[in-house]
Amino acid sequence: MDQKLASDLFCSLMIAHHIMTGKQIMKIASLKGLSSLRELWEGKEEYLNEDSLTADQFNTWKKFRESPVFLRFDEYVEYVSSHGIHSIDRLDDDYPSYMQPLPNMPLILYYKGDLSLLSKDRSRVCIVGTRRPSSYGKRVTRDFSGKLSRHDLVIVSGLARGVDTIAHESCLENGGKTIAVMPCGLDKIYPKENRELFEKIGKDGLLLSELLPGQEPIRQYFPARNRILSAISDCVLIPEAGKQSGTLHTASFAGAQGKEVFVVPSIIYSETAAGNLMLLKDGASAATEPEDVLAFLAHVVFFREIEEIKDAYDRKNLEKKIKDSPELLTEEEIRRILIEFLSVSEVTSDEIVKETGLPYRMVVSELGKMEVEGLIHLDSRKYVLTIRV
Amino acid sequence: MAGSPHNAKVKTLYLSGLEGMKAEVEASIFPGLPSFEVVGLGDSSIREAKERVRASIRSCGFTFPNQRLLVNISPAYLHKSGSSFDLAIAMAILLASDQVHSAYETVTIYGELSLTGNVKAVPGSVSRLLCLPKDDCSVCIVPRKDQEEASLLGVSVEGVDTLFGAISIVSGEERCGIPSFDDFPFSSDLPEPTADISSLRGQPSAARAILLSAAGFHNMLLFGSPGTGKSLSARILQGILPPLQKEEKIALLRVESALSVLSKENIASMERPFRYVHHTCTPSAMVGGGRSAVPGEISRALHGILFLDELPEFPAHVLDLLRVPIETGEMKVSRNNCTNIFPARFLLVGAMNPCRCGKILENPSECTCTPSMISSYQGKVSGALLDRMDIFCALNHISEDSLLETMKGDFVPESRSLRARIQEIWQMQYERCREMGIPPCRNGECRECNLGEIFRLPQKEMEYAAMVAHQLKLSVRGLQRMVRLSRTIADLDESRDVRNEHIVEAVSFRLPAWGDKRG
Repeated sequence: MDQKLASDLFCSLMIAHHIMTGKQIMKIASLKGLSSLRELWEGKEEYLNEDSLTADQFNTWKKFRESPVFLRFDEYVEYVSSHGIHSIDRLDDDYPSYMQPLPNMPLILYYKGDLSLLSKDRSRVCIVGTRRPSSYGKRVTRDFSGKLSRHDLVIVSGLARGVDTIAHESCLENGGKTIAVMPCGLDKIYPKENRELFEKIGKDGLLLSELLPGQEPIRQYFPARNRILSAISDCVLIPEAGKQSGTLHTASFAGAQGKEVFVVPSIIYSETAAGNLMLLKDGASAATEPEDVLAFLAHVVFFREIEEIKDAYDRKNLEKKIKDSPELLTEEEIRRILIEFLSVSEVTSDEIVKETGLPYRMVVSELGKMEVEGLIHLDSRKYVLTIRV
Repeated sequence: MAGSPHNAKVKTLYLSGLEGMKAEVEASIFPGLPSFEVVGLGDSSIREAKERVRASIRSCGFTFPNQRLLVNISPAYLHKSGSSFDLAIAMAILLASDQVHSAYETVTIYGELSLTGNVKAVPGSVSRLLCLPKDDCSVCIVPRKDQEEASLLGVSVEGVDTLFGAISIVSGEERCGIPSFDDFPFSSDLPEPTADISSLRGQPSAARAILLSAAGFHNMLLFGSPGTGKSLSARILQGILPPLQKEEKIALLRVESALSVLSKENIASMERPFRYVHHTCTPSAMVGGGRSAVPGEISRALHGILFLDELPEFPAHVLDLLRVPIETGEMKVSRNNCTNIFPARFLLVGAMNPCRCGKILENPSECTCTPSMISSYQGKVSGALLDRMDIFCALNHISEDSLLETMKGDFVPESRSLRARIQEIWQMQYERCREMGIPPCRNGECRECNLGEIFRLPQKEMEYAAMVAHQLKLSVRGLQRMVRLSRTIADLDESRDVRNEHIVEAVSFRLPAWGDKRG
């Protein structure tokens, strides 16, 4: 039996049966110094007691132990495992680090397929929209999804009818990778007509759900699923959305999570695109071509890299080195100093020389190299950080 | 003797464009009604010579032949002009009329005469003297003033002040010694630079650009708001250039003497010329021309600096005339039926504001120019000319503390010491050209195609340069500019081969993409 999967399934069951909340599990794990949920599962008799649980919860726990679900737990794990479903939880190293700081992120995620699509080195675009797109909406979705996936971007969507389906299909047709976040257990397929697409994504892309396998799709859950869609994406693109569309939930989650929302403009009389216009009024960015999204993502990637460089910047040590022995500075250190400057504002080489005290030749050589690499460019006479596309 | 003509012949030298030309002046006296005619395609200045010659012969106490007098200047098929024939005509007449007897087989003589018989200097001394054969044992009589130039060139001449002085030399009564080049009182040291490079301490990139421009003779474009020191930078550049070599000085004097009579200081100074050209300059004033083809500013800047302030204000057709001389180092001007070749190896330094009001860089909010005005202002400088500028140097306003630094006591002038260093670097460049079997030139002047080979770029560096050019979208000319400049950077580092670090530094001096600067 897959012990990892078993422990994650156990914790999910605890949450689903209101014996523990995700927060409580994390609290117990940190209090007892557990390094994985497996330890919790194996020591459930020890950790689940009257101290850690409320009276109600403890009663439920006692009752739960009598229930067939608990008694036939091993069979259930076998069933899940036979569907090729795996799991990750917040205590794992491969749980996406960018999801950790976001509010209300699931403790456990079930997946089928290639988990590397969630790595922080890849850029993901969420494309969601109405279930009944107009021909315009279909065309926009196909174009954007196809073009963006050719640029090695991962397309994230919800496998729903309409825009979602077209987004997945267009991505796969263009040889791209796609992620579907499901509103049900991964052993179920919703909607049923997308069975073929579902299997293709499970094989080639990634299927994702926070719900326990066996869970049927429930309408009330759909909006909650949308928070995961936006959480794993760098930005959200909305080709077409109606006024009451669930897509608007995704957009508002994206806003709360600090993600950019792109909306493709449409004519103002279109019923199916009323949501687009509403979002645009509320300040979403308009995307009239895939390049708009690409440029933004390049920005994101670039600043992610710069933050990494800046994090490694040991200012005190470097300042001493500049003063005492600038000739000993490595290329990397000089580059760090320059990026520190350039990320604040555009500067001339003279200003850098003056502010840092670095020798002129060193500054100019490094600036030249960075320019050749495309990191910076000259705007009239000032160096500016380049946004790479 | 009545009935047979009396003949006499002297040689003379005249100026055509920049070239010294040899001519013969023959005089014949026939019996008949008194008349005086000069033939041989002379212009009005030569026709007027008749009266000056007549008056000066009389005022020296000789008689002007009262017979039929014919003077021929040969070769008769070339147009001639100038007042330098006076002395030769007078001497030929005196010899033909038997009033003076020559002690020499041939006499070469030129100079202008005054009515009282004084000999005056004429422009073009250096070109004239250069066409004198060195081993000529005959006598050459020149205006006294030209003796200085003669001693500079190492030719032996006799300087005279009056027609009478010339007569006494021709008749063998007097003869001076032979001066030599070393006798001439050259000022061995250049004057103190008017501006020192250390005053650019707050602008290291400008200081570096100026140093590179001098070290490789690279044309440079100075770009900056008013008051950022564009003219100052050009002056600084002049200050770090090494003194003229002897041959360079002679070539320059040839140009200068063709335009006017040289002064003593003019000859003695070995400072490189600095021609500050105003934007109202006409095409012929810039490259040479006029009715009788005189050299222009580009030739007067020979081996020195041609400084064009307010570059966009120059008419486009004037700037475009500079393209050929920059490539070939000379300017051909055709007039009448002859073609004059004026030397024109110069360092072009252009200066321009970023926009008409000049505030767009330092004070964008105060700039009153519209984007279209800015691009039309910058667009006035043709891409073809910009293509020939190896160095783009942007100047900023000097900050307060760097100004303060230049006024402090620890201010050490550096320009003077740089001159010798730049001279060495030029020698290195000439030496490399010799090894590669091409005419000696400095890096900035090299117009060969196989730059990679001549400038010693190893295969890896060549590939790197090509990659850089591709990345930065440089044209072929842009790549060549970058390679030329990186060679100079390598020379300053005393590196045999050009390495990647040199290429990378050259990148920072390239011309920016022209266009809207508001972004």
